[in-house]
Amino acid sequence: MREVICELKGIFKDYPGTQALRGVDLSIYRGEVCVLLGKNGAGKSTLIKILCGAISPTKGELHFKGDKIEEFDTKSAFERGISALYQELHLLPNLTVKENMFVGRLPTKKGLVDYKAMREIASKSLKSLHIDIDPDRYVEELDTVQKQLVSIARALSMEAELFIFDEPSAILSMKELRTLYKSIKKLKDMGKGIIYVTHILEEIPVIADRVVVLRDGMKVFDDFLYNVKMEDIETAIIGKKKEERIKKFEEDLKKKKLKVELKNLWYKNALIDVSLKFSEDMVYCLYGLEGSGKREMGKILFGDLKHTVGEIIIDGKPVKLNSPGDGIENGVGYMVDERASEGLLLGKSISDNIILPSLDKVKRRALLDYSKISNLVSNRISELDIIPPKPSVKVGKLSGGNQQKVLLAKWLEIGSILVLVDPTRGLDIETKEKLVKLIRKLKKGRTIIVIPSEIEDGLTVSDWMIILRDGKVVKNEEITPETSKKELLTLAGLEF
Amino acid sequence: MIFGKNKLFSLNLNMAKFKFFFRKFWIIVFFAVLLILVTVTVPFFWSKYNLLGFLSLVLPFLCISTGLTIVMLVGEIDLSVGSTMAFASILVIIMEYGNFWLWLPESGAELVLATQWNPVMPPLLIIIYICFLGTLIGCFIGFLHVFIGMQGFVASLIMLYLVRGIAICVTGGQPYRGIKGAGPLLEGLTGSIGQVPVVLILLIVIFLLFYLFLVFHPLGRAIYATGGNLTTAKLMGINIKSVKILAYGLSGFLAAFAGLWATGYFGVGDGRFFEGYELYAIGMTVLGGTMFRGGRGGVVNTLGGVLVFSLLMTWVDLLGIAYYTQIMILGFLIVFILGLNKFTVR
Repeated sequence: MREVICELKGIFKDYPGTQALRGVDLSIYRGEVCVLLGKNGAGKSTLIKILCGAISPTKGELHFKGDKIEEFDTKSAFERGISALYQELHLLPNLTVKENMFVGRLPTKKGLVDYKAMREIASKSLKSLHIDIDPDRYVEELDTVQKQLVSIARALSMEAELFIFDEPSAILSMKELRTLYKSIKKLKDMGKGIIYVTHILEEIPVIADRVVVLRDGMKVFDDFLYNVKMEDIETAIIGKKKEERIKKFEEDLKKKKLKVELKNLWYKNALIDVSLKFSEDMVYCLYGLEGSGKREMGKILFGDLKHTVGEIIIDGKPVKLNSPGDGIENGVGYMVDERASEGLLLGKSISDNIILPSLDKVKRRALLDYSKISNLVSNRISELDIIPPKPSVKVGKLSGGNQQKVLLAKWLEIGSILVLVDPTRGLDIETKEKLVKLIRKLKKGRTIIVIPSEIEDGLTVSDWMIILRDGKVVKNEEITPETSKKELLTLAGLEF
Repeated sequence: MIFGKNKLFSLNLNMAKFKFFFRKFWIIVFFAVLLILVTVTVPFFWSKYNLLGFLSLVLPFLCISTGLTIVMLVGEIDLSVGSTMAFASILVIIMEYGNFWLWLPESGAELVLATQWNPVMPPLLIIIYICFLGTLIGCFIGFLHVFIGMQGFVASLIMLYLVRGIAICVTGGQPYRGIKGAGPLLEGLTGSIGQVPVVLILLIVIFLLFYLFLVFHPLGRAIYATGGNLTTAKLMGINIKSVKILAYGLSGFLAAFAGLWATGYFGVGDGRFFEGYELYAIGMTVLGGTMFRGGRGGVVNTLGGVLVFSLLMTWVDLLGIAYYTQIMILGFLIVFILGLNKFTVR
């Protein structure tokens, strides 16, 4: 017997200019994992925000455990038992696990905090979820999945009834996800309601009981897992048959100009005697598992790290890259994967963000030339198709894909060598394909080095595959249609 | 075999515990080392008279640093402590020796001498009253920060000027002094009970009180939570506004007490006293390991910082090094100590 825990009836949400949700009906049942899919901007995050009280709907009703909800604010939603496990988890890093589980309602004895009782209850509740974490540890010492598990345990100890997982696959590795799945199964057995948001279709058969797809603010698909075919889901997400994969770029490599050469490069114990050549008009994929040295390699090219031994030759001249400034001078652009924290000034406009690394180029004598700036920025916006095409819009207000484009645009003026770390991370299928096309377009006259965290992302965008393992190059080859993903992963050191 | 394994395991655990302790409270270890150095170079450090002087330096430092620690734990900063001390200082002389409402001294006098001991209220009430005013000053900073929306830095900077200005105005720029040093109230605070000096008792009581408060009281934990992450603390049902005001209030309270006690020790009240003490407090707190980003550190750390700082000051003083050289040496030492901490402990 399925029991409804939460019900959305005809939810509309209007924003100035757009309609994020247009009449969504959705029921969440106890003991059931509802996987929520949809591309960026389909309305998933709006829906979740409404559920956890961050925003209120323009029209429509929300019922939770039979009561109609009138007031929308995060605190009361939290107290009602709706717990959203966002990517940034609401934990206190400076306190221990046990204290985090009881913040705001610490057990006391004679007015003083009873740490012993706290420890006992905490370890009991962690055990009930099969979580193996010492409650005395500090949260800042934990890794991402452990933090996620702690916040589940905390939500549970606060008697949460509805758990919303907002794209855990964006921050967790495959192995970590498996740990998470176990706890989610446990929650299911306890009869909690679960919403699981993801972009990765492979997760569906593992975790889902029911699949719901949103597109353009409407629910277009809602069915049980056993009725579902993967192609149907994909079609529902994109809204048209899956496009042809991007065709291989076939050009004679020998004609191309040599751009960067690395000779016998060492970096501490992360890179061991690496020699590589990068040509113009090419996209290279630099892949390896975590700790293989791929990140260090990117940073060395940009000048963020200083290699210990070896030589870097750019355009035939040996260069010394001691700081990112040297990298920029030599035409190296470095796109970071932490776009919110490291890459972009979210509170500043598109224009400010784009010209930041190339301030030297838009000067007339000592002062900035604003007509040059606006020219350059509007060129970039139209070239990369940034939406909305207004230079004054704050970057924080853009969607993930467009933020990524701004990040890319920053480096186009100076960068004839672009190092892109995980450029398609956290994007939906369609935005991903658009960005892949864009990178392919930009490679003209440039050398692009992509450092992806998932090998698929690298394979679709690149012409050439370089695999690092424990600081050594184990494969340096052109990507052909026969290139096997599994073989590459085995080379990189992944065990199946 | 199994026994051996277990033994090894427990040894490892102890090592880990030791390391953890060292990482957290290494400043105490540093203090012990420094103490040995001082003992070797200046044997008369351990004389009763000198020790009393050392403790008298530590107490006001501990008070203001503890207050600042609490404010820094919620992720804010308080620059007003020196001014609050000065305010308390002139207030206590006025209230002990004169008519409370007759503030302005006669013109022309270089040093204003109170002719007779003439308290406006019972001594204990004076302490409570002055500490209460200090708390109000602190709470007002909290109010400016929380409700007016000023940054803590700015709000407390305003109070730094405002309170200092009031203190100097009240005395007309002159120091105030009692004719026979301190009155009974202040003599009580700086004297001794039997063989035990009151300073030592006060030190222990204040330290223990605030240690218990921060570690074992729910409100103390709320301070840590607020400093850890504002949004989370709010979501968990903690009233972050009152927690912040509480932190500033405690800082003001402790600063007022420090000023009151130091006045008793010196026997003089002056609106210009204790200038730059807010910076000493920051120095000592940071030295102990409480961090600006909030939520990390505590009074044990701060006690370590205060002891090391005071000991260093006493040491260079006893070695007969001139004041301006002292502060230079102190600057170098702080760089050295914090650098050492960064490279050895991480």
